[in-house]
Amino acid sequence: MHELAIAKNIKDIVEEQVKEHNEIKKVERIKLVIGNMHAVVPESLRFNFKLLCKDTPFENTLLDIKEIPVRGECNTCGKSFIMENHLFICHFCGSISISIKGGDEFFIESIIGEE
Amino acid sequence: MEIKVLKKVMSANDAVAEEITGFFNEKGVFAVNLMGSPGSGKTTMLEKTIEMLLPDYNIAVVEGDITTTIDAKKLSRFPVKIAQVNTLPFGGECHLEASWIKDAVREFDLETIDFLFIENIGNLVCPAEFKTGAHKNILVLSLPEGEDKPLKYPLAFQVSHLVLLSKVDLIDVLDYDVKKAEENIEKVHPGIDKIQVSSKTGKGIQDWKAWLTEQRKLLFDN
Repeated sequence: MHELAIAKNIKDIVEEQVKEHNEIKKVERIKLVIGNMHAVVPESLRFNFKLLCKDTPFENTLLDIKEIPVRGECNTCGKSFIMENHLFICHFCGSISISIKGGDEFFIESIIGEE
Repeated sequence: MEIKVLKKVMSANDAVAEEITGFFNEKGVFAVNLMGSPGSGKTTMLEKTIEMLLPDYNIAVVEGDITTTIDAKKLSRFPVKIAQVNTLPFGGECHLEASWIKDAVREFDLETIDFLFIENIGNLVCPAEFKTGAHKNILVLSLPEGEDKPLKYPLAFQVSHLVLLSKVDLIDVLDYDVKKAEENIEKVHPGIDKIQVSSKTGKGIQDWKAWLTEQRKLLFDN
């Protein structure tokens, strides 16, 4: 259960951004992009963020989480596919020589707030 | 209004981890992060590792636990430097963060250390997300955990450089399928190094030593 630590990181980054952009009075939403390579449970992250932000200006801020599937490209047949369960096996030719082409993302895309 | 941020969530931890790696490189410290489930044999393996490296190298250990100093006490019989990190004051976190490791290694004179072992908190999920600044991540996977763990906790295997398949003296007792376990490891991290070890019988310990010294040499002797 590391979602609390992740929630703290998100809060720190957003606090910094709010300081930098003082035209934002209230943060309504934080847009997050999380690749499925990361073992982050969105519900748990939302829960921990809410808990952490109780009685702070982010009390009602929503986490808008976009999940990105892990995408692999086969180095043998060249086809690309969604790597379910993170397995390095080509769905088309069975090769285990796979390059990861997405799913490792883990960043704050933007914050949306009231001016 | 929408403000573009495009900042990695783990960027604060990543930056500190990078800074720590910088200290290690400058001082010639080869740092290893040991990860694995509770009870996988990390501490016992560390005791064996210290025994085999001590004649030739100076060693320091950062012991991570939620609470207690049991593991640090076990290692205190060796002439090694030990720093204990307990995460209970930080909310009982189930992983080590780079800033705590940075504080812990301040206790050491890094100039005099050849190998630093970071024993992460027993857990196959959280430590995988938090870089420690170590040069290599080692995953200790013990036989009693079953052959399926790589499939269930892929990230921990993906971020690792070596899997120590530990407690292999139990193969017959557990009717363990080593081949299947190794295949499962390959499915989530093709080509990763693997060594079968037993702290009890000493199997594989020399191979593990060779791996460690070779990796250290690759980094610092060029």
